[in-house]
Formats: sequence, C-alpha cells, structure tokens
Amino acid sequence: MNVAQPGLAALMDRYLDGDERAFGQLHAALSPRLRGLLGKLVRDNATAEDLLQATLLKAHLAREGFVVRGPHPDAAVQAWYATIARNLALDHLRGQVRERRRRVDGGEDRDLMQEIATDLPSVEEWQVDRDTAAEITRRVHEALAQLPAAQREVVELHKLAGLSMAEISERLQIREGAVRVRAHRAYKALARVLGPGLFLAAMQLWATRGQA
Amino acid sequence: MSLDAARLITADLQLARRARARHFGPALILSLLFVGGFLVLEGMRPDLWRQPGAQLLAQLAVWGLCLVALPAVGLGLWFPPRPLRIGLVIAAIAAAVLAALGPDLGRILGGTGQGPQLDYCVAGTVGTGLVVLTIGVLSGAFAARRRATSALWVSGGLSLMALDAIVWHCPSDDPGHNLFSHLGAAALLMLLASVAGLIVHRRQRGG
Repeated sequence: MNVAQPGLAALMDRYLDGDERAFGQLHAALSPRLRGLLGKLVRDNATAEDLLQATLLKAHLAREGFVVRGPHPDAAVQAWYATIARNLALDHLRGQVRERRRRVDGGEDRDLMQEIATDLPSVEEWQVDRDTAAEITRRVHEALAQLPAAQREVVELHKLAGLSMAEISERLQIREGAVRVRAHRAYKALARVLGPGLFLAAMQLWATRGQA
Repeated sequence: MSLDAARLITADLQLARRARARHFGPALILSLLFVGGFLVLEGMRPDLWRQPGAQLLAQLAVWGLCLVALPAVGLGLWFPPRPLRIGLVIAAIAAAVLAALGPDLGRILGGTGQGPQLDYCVAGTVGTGLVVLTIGVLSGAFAARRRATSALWVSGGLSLMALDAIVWHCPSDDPGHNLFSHLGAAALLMLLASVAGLIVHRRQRGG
C-alpha cells in the first residue's frame, strides 16, 4: 500500500517544532536538490558538499525566522533553503575572487567581483549580532586551547585562515588524508566541549566570516 | 568536509528535547502532588478496587494518558505520526467516557438520575483543573511548541487528570450524576483550558 509522504512544508513545520525525525526526512528530500544547485554554482563536488553542510547549519540556526509566504508552502521551503545555499555559494565564489586578487597583486582581476554580483540578500542578514559573536568566539578560543597542538593548527588554518585541506597539507607537509583525520577529530572534540548548540553557532560564524 | 551537519542538527534537537523534559518535569510532579493531595485530603472512593474491571482499566488508562502521553505530545517530547495521534485522541475520549460512566452505557440512555447542576463534583473537577491549568501556564507548557494545537494536548491532559481525580473520589453510581457532574465538568474544563491555552500560546509565541 502506498502511504502518502508528507510535503516539505509539513516536514518543515514538524522540524521547527523540534521533531528530529521530520528533520531527517526533510534533509533526505532537500539534500539532492541543494547538492545539484550548489554543484552547478561552484562546479566542484567537494566544495558543493561543504557548502551543503554549511547550508543546513545556517538554516538550522536561522529556522525560527522561517515563515511561509505565498500560496505554495512546499515551494517556499525549497526556496528558503535554496536562497541560503546560493548566498553561501556566492560568498564562496567572492572569497575565491578576493584570494585571486591578493595573489595577482596587481588589481587586474578587479572586475571579477562584478561578475558574480547578485541582488540576493547578503549573508550578513544571517549573521548573529556582535555581542553574541564575541561570546562565541571567546568560548571557541577556550575550547581550541584544549585541543592537541596538531589538531588546533589544522582548525586554525582551515576555519580561521580559510585554507583548503589541500593547502593545509601542502603547508604542513603532511598527507591530505592525515589533515582530514586531524580535522575530523578536532571538530568532534570541539562539538563535545562546546555542545551541539554552541558548536553550530561557531560553525555558522566561521562560515560567514571565513568568506568575508 | 569533516562536518556532518545532519548529525549535529539531530544532536541539537535531541538536546533541546531533553532540556524541555527537564524543564517540565517539576511542573508535572507538582500537578501530580496536587491531585494526589486532593485525593488524600478528600478521600478516595471506598469501592475503588471493586469497580467493574473495564471501568478500572479505563481509569488507569486515563492516568497513563494524562500523565505521560498527552503531555509528551503537547510539550514536544514525543512526535507520534498522524495516525497514532488520531488514535490517541480517540483512545482518550473512549477511556474518559468509560472511566466516568462505566461499561453499562445503556443505563445513561434510560435518562434516569440527576440532570445538569452545579454541585461539589463539578466544582472539584473544574477547581482541580484550574489549579493544574495555572501550573501549566506558569511553567510555559502551553507555548512549549510552535504549533497552537499543542495547547489542546496539554488541555486534554489536565482535563483527564481532573476527571480521574474526581472519579477516584466520588463513589456515585448514578449515571446522570456521572454524566453531567464528572464527564460534563471535565468537558467544560477542557473547553475553558483550551481557550485559555490558545490565548496563552498566542501571547507567548506572538501569533
């Protein structure tokens, strides 16, 4: 017998109410579409996957602000997630352009910023206020200080300096796989020390600042 | 990416659920103490364990529903699927009717006994319910969830609690009295608590 699956709006409603099973179903329904969208925008599967995770985290932290507008609730949910994903992708692309400009050191790429200009809402709209950010930063730095030096170094290079795993590998002269293992352990330890809520807030903060 | 956002978000939701359970635990215990205190002070019916088996079973089911199932749904500690939610509502109504009136529902149709009137049992049911309602309002139970319908689950829970308390106190076997002063009073309480709960939800949740 076919059991009708709840729509995205119904799942979102239950997720907003705190139902983790509904979040799981929503995640399963949305992730392939968001992955496809991000893949088209950044043209790199690994980056698209990174941005998908960041999208889910940002949406989770901003979920209280979600309201259904328009006559199609399911489409509103999809559009909300897609907007967050696109903003993150655009911020990522802007960050890449800035990086290239720094490297070119002559300003010949200045017009590249115009190439990805957008009229979508900026990522700053999702940022937490400064006081909260300062408190999160302080707690994160305390948690970072508790990590072994090798793990802390990877997190600082990845999240604070904005280097990719490949760049960290090159800089530290270790295999990229080893960098990923260290990062994985470091994030697990941070999530344990900070708790899921604060850890999510830190990830959101890094995601927004890392691109700026 | 070394992050699994879904796992982190799920952990965050579970943490929030545990925090809600910790927050509302004392309110539930306080409600139970109050209802228990009412039964101790006013006395339990002498024939409590001599009631028909089905009626006693329904009363125990009502305790389970009002102390565990309905608050869990209303406070966002349990998210049963829609068919189960509908089943819970039907079970709650059926158990309340059976608990209050007993298995011999045919006697009610006979129309014998007392009609609607304001007596001790009505005052006891509504009074007990209003105290539990106050505990619910003060603890924020009516606005624990985003959905306004959550207030109805909490209202249902406290109405059943008040009904079971009066049924365990009053030994009446007059079907009219049981219908109007027990079940009717609980229905009135449900109505009052639902309206109050929805208003509180609207005020505390801003919509």
